[in-house]
Formats: sequence, structure tokens, C-alpha cells
Amino acid sequence: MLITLSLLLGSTFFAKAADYILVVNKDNPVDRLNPQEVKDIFLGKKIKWGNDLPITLVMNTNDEIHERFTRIMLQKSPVQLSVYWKKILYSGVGMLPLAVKDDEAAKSYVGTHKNAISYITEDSLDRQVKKVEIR
Amino acid sequence: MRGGGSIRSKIWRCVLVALVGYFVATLASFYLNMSQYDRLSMLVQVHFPQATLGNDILYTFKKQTERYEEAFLTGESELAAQTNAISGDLSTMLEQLLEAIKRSPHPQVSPAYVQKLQGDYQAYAHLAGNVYAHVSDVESSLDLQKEVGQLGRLQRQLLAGFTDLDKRLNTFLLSEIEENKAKSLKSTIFLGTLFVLVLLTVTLIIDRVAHRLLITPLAQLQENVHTFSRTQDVIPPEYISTTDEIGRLAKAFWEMTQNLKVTTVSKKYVDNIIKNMTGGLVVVSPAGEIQTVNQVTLTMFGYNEKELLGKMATTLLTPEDESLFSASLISTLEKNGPMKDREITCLTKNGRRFPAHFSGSAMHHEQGALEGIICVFNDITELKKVEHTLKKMAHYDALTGVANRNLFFEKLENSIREAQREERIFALLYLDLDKFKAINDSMGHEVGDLVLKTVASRLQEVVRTGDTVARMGGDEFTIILNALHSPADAEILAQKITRTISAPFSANGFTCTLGASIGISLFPENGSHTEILVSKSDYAMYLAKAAGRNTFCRFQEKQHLENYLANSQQRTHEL
Repeated sequence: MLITLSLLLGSTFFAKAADYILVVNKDNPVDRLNPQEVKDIFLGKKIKWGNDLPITLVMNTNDEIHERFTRIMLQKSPVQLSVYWKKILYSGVGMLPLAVKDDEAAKSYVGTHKNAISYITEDSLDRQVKKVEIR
Repeated sequence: MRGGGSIRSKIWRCVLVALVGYFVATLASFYLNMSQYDRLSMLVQVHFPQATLGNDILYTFKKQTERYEEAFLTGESELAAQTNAISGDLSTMLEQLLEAIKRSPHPQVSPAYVQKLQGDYQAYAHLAGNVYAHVSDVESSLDLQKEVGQLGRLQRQLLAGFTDLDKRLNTFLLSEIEENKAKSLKSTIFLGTLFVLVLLTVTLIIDRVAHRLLITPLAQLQENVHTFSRTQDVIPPEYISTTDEIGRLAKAFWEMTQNLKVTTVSKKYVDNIIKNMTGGLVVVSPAGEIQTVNQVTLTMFGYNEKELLGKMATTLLTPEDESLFSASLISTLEKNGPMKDREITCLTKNGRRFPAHFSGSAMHHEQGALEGIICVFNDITELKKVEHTLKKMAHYDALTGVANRNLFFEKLENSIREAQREERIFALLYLDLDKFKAINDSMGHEVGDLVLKTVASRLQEVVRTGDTVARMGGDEFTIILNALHSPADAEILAQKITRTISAPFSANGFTCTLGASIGISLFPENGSHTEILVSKSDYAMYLAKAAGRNTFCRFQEKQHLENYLANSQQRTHEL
């Protein structure tokens, strides 16, 4: 299930028209997050949901969508994000986030884990997960 | 030690006080500087190295973690291996710090604390050495991630520990420095205050010492000099040691005053003498004004001092003698020296005259100018009385009051001179009472004396003014009759005398009748010398007696030549 980030670091980025969406478990009451909340969650600064449950991050390392998401939402390159998280790990503040290799794996994980959050290509949204508006 | 000792020793005492003060101040500053030196030494040798070590440890640890991080992020296991070497250095530093803290007398950080850090670090270094060498597959190994996370927490703890250690050591160093600064300031203030106090104290003590040892004795000496100039009295100095110059000066001054007392005369003394001298002293200015009088003068003249001072000296003299204080007096005195016992007549305030002896001498300034005339008046009223009495006793007969032999001869000579000058005649009568011896023997001396007194008074009643009656002794009288127109006048008067004397008189209940035989000699007819005139009148008197008593007889030259030698012996027997 886990895919090494070295793939992301080494891969060539090609811009595509496909857009990303944010998805959570269907049981998660959250429908909407603002961009800052998204950024805080994915940089490990906000680590709990409103009902005090821990947030489980799922990094979708599907090259295209991963790159778009990190660059647009987190204002970082995938390499920078990887180093960012390694630094967190090095300083003992937190562990590395879970990484999946594509949308299917992400949907599957989010669908089965109540506190998980991830991002997928807009087109691949199905009933396994719930879309969260970014506003 | 009341003012004793030489000036040198007194000054040395002052210097000693100053030196003691200086020594105390120096000692205090030395002590304070030494303690500051100790504190600074402690700072340099103990606290500063500790703080430096703490700082180094923190810095080295940070460097190590940075390099581990770099190695972790880049996956450079070689760098991680190199970084492991730092652990040895850091361990050594920790060991050194621990030793230093153990040696420190007042450690700010407990050795246990450092030992704990040491232990933590060893654990960390050991783990890091293992973990960071194999970080390439961290994403895939959750265990590895856990180990890295644990290392990170350990590292944070250590960082916090080392930071705290560094902070504590540095804070301590800073606080020590601050404390030293405060202590230095305190020392400076204390020393400043001490110096000021010592200076004040020393100044005060020196002032007191100088006052007691130098100024007081000198002031006392000065007081003595003042007292001496005012009253001529000096308090004798107390016991003086031979080394005390001021004391010796005081003693010398005292001795000088004693000598002065002996060798000089004070104004008071002179005033006292003047006041108590028996003569009346008057000092007259060259202008003739009275300047000084003594008590005797005031008593003598009946004035008080105010009335006389400034008045002309002639006030004291009768108009006849006023010329005494003329301008010539001064020149006379200057030329002939002091005038002595000149007889003058003085005038008292109430107009009484009295004779006085005046002595005067010129008084000069030291420069030689005439200052005044010193006059001494001695009342000679009593002297004059005595003189008069003596004179009377010498010239008059004590019983009858008429002239005695001495005066008689004087008068006779005067008469001779005057008669010669005026070319006139005068007569000498020699009178002898008849049978006076019988009266004296039968009726006693008292009656005899009374008879003689009566005869004398009757004779004086008969003669004119300018004539002289004298008693030659016994019952013999002589009478000088001046200013005769002719020899016959003498005979008329002789007759008048015999008549007067033969008049009866009574005494003590007795009545008796006397008789007198009178011999007359004439000037110049019978001679020009007293002896001759007397002897010739005596002879004539003898002739009168021979002629039957109670009569008179003129001396006849011829008669005399015939009878003188033959009868002289007989006359002597009869008398």
C-alpha cells in the first residue's frame, strides 16, 4: 500500500488539465474547509478534527494530482514537502504521513478509515468517499 | 602631657596622628581591593571557564544536530559517520564541566544535573550513531521512523538541557559580574566615605592637638603679655620641661617681667609717690599752666583738682610773687639748673597768705624739648614761727621784752652808721637802778623781776619811736636816743627818765620808790665806736651814782682823764 516518495522526487512533472478534489470518510461531518485549514492540515499544523479525533493524512502520490495539490494548496514542490515532513520526523515532533500510489488507493483508504483525508482527481470521485468543498 | 615637649615633638605628634589615619585608610582599601581581587580571580578561574564550557557544549551540540539533520535529509551516511566523532569531543567537554563544577566552591549547577545530561547525551550519541547511518529507507520503515522520532525528542530534551545549562552558567557569570560591580561600587563608596571620615577625624584631631599643644600655650603667653602691659602682673608659668620651647619662652617672659619689676618704676608707683609726698607738687607747662597737682597741693591751697588743672600757676601766688612764673624762670632754670628753697608767699583759695619754700626744675622730653617745670611748694609757716621765736630769743630780753645786749650792740652800730651818714648826733644813756639789790634781797626775786619789767615798760613809754631800750643784764639798762637836735636834748630826756622811774609803784601789796643813775655819752663828741661809747656812758653813770644817785651825768673828757683810773676799782666794788 505504501509507495516510496523517491518515485515522486525523481519523476518528471507534466501539467494536465485534470483538477483535484479533497475527500474524507463518509462518516466525517466536515463538508467544507477553507484553503488555510487545508494547508494547516497537510503541513501537520492542524492534527485534530473538530470532534477531537486525530486527522490521518493520506498523501496521494499520483504524480500529476500530487504536484498540483502541493503546489496550489501548500505552495511547495513535492520535494520541498517531502523534506518538510522529514524535518518534522527528524525533530521528533511527528511521523511521516501515509503515502498511496494513486486515486484508487486513496479512495480505498479514506473510505475505510474514519479520520482520514486525502485528495484525488476530480473525475475519479465515487461513493466510497465524501467530497469536501474548498472555500 | 599638658603642653610639654618641644615643638618638633608636637609637630611629630600631629604627623603621627595623620599617619595613623592614613594607615587605617590604606589598610581598609588594601583589604577591599584584595577581596575584590579574589572575587575577580574566582570569576576568571572558575565561573568564566564554566560559562564558556556551557556555551561550547551548546554550540557543539547544535552543530552536531545540524550535521545529523543534514545527513538525515540528504541521506549522506558518510556525513553521519563523521558527525559521530563530535560525540567524543562533547563528552570530554561535559566531563571537564563536571570536574569544574565539582571543584567550584559555590556551584550554581549541581553535578547530578550535569551527570544526568551526560547520561542522556551518551544514550543519544549511541542511538544517533546507529540510526543516522541508515536513513536512506526511512519512508519505507515505520520502525526506523519511530527511532528517528525518538531521537528527535531526545535531541530536543538535550538541547533544552544544554540551553538551560548554558543559560544558568552564563546567568550566574553575569550575576557574579553584577555582584562584583555592586561590591566594587560599595567598596568605592565605603572607601570614599572612609577617606573623608579619616581626613575629617585626622584634621579634627590635629586641630585639637595643635590647639592644646601649640595654640593654647601661645594664647596664654599672649594673654600674659597683655596682662603685663595692663597691670604689670603676670601669672608665673607652671612646671616647664627643658624641651618645651613655648614653655621656655613663657618662662623667659616671666623672668623678664620680674626683672622689669625690679629695675623699672611703674607709673602707678610714681603716682603713688607723688600722691603721698609731703611737699605740694605742681607741674607747670612751658606756657605757665598747671598740668599736674598732688593731694598735698590741693590740701595746702584749699582747691580741688578740677579747679586747678589748666589754670595759670600764678593763681597760687600773691601778687608780689607772681613774677616768679615769668618767662625768665624757664631760662633761669635752663641756665642755672634747679632752683632750691626760694622763699615766697603763697595765696590760698580763700585768700590766706602763707610763706613757702619753692623749688623748681625744668623737665625735658627724652628728645630734649622742654616739657614743663616741676615745682615743689613746702609750707614754712611753722618754720617761720620758730625762726621768729629764735630770733626773738637771740635779740630780746626774756624778762622785760626789751632788746638784749646783742641787739643793743647791733642797734648801736646801726645808729653810728646812720649818724655818720646823716652827720648828726645821738646819745647813749647807761642806766643803773639805785639800791635794786636791796629790794631784790628783801622782797624776793619775784618782786625784783616785777620791778625790772616796770622799769623797762616805763622806759619804753618815755623814749620816742626809733630809740632803743635794752637790758644789759642785772639792773642795768641802756637807751639809744637817735636824732637829737643838741646834747641838751639828751639831758632833758635823762631827767625825764629819772623822774619817771622815781615815781612810786606798787607790787604785791607793797609800795616802793625807785631811783636810777644815768650816764650819758654822745656821738660823735665822746667817740665813734661802740665800746668807747658804752664804757664812757658807763663811766658817766658811775659819776652820777657818786653824785648822789637818782640823777644823771654827762661824760666829760677832762673829768674822765682825772678820775678814770683812780675810781674804776672803787666802782667795781660798789657794784
